[in-house]
Amino acid sequence: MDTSSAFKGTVIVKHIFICLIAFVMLYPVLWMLGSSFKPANQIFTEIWFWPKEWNFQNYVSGWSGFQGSSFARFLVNSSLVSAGAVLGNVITCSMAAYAFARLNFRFKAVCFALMLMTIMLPLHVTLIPRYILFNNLGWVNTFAPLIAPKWVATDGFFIFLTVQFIRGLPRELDEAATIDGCGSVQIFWRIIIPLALPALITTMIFTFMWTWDDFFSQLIFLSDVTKYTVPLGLRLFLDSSSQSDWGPMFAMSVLSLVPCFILFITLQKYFVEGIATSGLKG
Amino acid sequence: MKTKKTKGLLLIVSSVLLMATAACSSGGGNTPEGAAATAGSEPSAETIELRMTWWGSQTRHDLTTKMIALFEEKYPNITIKPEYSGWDGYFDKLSTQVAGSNAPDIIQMDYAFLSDYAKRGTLLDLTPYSSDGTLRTEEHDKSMIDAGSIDGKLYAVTLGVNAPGVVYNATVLQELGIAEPEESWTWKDFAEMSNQIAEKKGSGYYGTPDISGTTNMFEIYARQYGTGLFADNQLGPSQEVITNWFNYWQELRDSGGATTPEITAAMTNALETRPLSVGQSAFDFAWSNQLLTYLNVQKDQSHKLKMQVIPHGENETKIGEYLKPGQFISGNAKTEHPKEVAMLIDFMVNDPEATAILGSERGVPVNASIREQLKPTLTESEQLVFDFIDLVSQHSSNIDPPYPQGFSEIDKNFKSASEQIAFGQGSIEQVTEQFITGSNQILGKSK
Amino acid sequence: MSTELLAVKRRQSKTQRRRLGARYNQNGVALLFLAPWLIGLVCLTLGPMAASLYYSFTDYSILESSRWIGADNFVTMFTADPLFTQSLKVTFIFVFVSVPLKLMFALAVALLLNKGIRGLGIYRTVYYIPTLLGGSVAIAMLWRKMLGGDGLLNQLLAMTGIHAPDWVSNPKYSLYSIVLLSVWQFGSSMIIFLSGLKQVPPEYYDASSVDGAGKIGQFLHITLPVLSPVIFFNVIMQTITAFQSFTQAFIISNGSGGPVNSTLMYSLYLYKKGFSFFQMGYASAMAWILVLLIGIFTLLVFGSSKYWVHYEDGGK
Repeated sequence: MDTSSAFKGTVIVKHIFICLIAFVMLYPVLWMLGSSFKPANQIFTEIWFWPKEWNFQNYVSGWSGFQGSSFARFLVNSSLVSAGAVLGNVITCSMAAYAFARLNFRFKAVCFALMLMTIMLPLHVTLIPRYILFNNLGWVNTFAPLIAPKWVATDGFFIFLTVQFIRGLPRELDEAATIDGCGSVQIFWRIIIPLALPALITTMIFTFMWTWDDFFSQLIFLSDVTKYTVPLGLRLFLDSSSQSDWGPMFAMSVLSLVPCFILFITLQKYFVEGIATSGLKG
Repeated sequence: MKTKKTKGLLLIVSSVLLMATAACSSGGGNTPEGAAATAGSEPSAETIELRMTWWGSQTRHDLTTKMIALFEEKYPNITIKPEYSGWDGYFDKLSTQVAGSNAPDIIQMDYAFLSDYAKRGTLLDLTPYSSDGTLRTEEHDKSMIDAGSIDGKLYAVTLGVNAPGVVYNATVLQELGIAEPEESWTWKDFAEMSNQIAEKKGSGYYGTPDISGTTNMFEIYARQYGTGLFADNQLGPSQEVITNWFNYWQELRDSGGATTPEITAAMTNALETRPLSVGQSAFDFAWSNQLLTYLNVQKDQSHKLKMQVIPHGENETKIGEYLKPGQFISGNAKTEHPKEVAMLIDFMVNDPEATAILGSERGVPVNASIREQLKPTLTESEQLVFDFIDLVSQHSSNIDPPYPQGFSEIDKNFKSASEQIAFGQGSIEQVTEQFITGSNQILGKSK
Repeated sequence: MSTELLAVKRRQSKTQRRRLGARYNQNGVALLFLAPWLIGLVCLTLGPMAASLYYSFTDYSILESSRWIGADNFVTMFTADPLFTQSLKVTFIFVFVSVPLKLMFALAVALLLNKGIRGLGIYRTVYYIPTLLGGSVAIAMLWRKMLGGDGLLNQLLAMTGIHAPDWVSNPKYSLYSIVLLSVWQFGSSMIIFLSGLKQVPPEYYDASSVDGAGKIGQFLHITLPVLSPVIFFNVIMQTITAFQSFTQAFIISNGSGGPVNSTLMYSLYLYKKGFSFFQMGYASAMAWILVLLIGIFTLLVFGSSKYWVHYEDGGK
């Protein structure tokens, strides 16, 4: 009896603890949500997140967008770019990762080092050569410079991530499969992909978010307002040289978090239930 | 067995690559506009397409696209493709486009970057078009033409005339029983008033934000003692003038008249966050066109804001106040259609209908007769701005030549220097000395 | 290491020996799997990289063509640029304070959220929300509201009679408020840890429970070793990211790296040099020095990995 109530006690304490941290984590977001309902001059003068009066005007004027491109346009564009990027990254990075983690080939170490080096060089100094390259290809002001690189596994981060996961899988599985007559392709498809699913899910979430958030390259490569994505759309509300429309900016920021949020909620359960690894691993 | 597997893989890989290339090439197919613009005039099509870029707020985007529509109506063979954004990243993108030989034909330009771009040959020399009458400048203020010219060539036309000044909260001054400043006021008056305001309003309220790190405002102080910011590719003001400036603000901070270093460092350029807007100070230093924004964003909308010239120097050798171009419009040196670019620029600043659309959103129009034409249509707050410009044109001296290359770096260092002093990380003399040697190094290198 | 795991490892090394004999050359297959990456490397990555290396020996201004100036940029950097030194200092502090804090925090929360509590999905989402905000412009405003002079934190402190400084705008603390921001956005590392934890087979725990190993014992002998490849990944990637940290300092300081250059991160300075001051040659030189720095660090971590990283594939 005693132990069970003590147990209940620790569970409650644990919950309170987690909730407390959760509130601290969340407050800024609540503040942002609250701000999206406030008139502009209150956004900067009030600290408490709860609006004194609820004002939906920010959402209305934010949604109406610019020159006939409503904010929906930016959301659609961002979705296209992000979806293209996610698909590309998941496919090509996992392929490259499999090669690095499981196959023996010449120059493997050199290739791996090169791959890591591409992560280390700051983006800002390769931007101009990349721009010149894509401009010569006629890709500027299209989504291609934002998507195509993902289809050729230029995101070393995800290759490295997936390599680490695949290396965490016992080799016996591959060997058993080889004995059963599977080639590398089938091992990759039937064994590695299902088992490395958490890494692939992680790749999906991160690629989506990072593409969704990426201001700089999208600014550089897209010029036409009808092709603008969410981060560019949001900045259109802000002009630090004159007047900014903070209210609509906050409203649309909140709105643009929704897709990320939904994606995360849908995919995060794979970290709980996961996949039936246990049976395979035994 | 194994080869079969390999073939399967080949299939997968190649189809993936096919998809990738297909995605790319279909994307590429979507840009006939961009390609056409750079490829220039195709013989079959008579229409000319020009790309135009600017930064600004939503109001500006709306007005400018309206102006473009009017232009296209008048010149059906020319289409203008607008590319607009906020201030953030505008110049990063522009320089990248210049590097890629893909810059827009018509470019909104900032005073601070004019030399950087013009001296490197990236801007179109507009002189031929102003002399053949395509781009009429006779009615433009002479000093604005000078401001857009480098080595005798016109690179940029002023879109709006601005002047620096002090915005003050007339309601607060009245409430405290302090007389509103007059044109003849001095830095001494300014300090006394700031201290009085801070004292009467109590803690948490200041007379003025500490703007000792704002190069543009220091420039006026320097001009009052005879030199521009730069002279002969050296820093203009003497060590004494710079030290005096920092000392002046140090005293004002100590007496409570100016904001504390922390509050100053927390200020951004976004006018919504300035102490004047959030009800923490009665003064702020600003450009005349910003008065409209202040009026829109201040916390207490019932307060009256007005503008006065920058305080005069004690025993000043000349008036420091000057008229300055708000923004410029320029052409791309590599444009295929320089004449049409000049036509659009002319339209933007001289056409009665176009200027009526644009109004004074970018500042007071540079063309004198357009200015007269606009006057009856002004709102009350726009009237304030126009009156202020009128006042300044009677009490000002000519603008100095455009800043040399390297200005942005010096500008940043000046701000750092003022922060260093305010936070007590070095004596005024020492910091000033460092700033001067550093600046002259930068200027020496960029020549 | 616990006996169960050792037994597993022993089994593995036996199979490994068996496998070594059967190893054949897989160049062909590898080429197929690597094809997209190789195309990307050759067509998209190497060119710009080489270009930036070349620029680092020139006075490239972006707006006009470049002129070869030899090692001048590197010489200036190390002899006549106090801001370069300052940015190095700021970045080193940032890396060595924020990375360990962030990783420990992320690991702790990931362990807490891995099992044994109701409403897990909700908590996980809540903890991830700050990361969802990313580098949004809203963050800059938000952070000032929370940690500014009269921000929420200081108002709470004022109730207890403590008068606190402005954490964001005082050069003594400004860097640490950015460290805090980076730790607050620990979600990405947490996710990677969580997915790593999925790889720990429950049988390992079952076996050790039979052995009577305590929670701490389980953590040290089972969770940590199995998680080590992922920890290794996070250490390397978080460090690289921290060395390149740009967005947070940029938005919080309004692009200035102020006050008094106290948040002038290396990448921020590099960006300003390249794009604001038109010295892309110098910026490229800085970038390659950064690659060198990160490279050395990565090599060190890789070198140490054989002592603490345990791969289920037998370390091959």
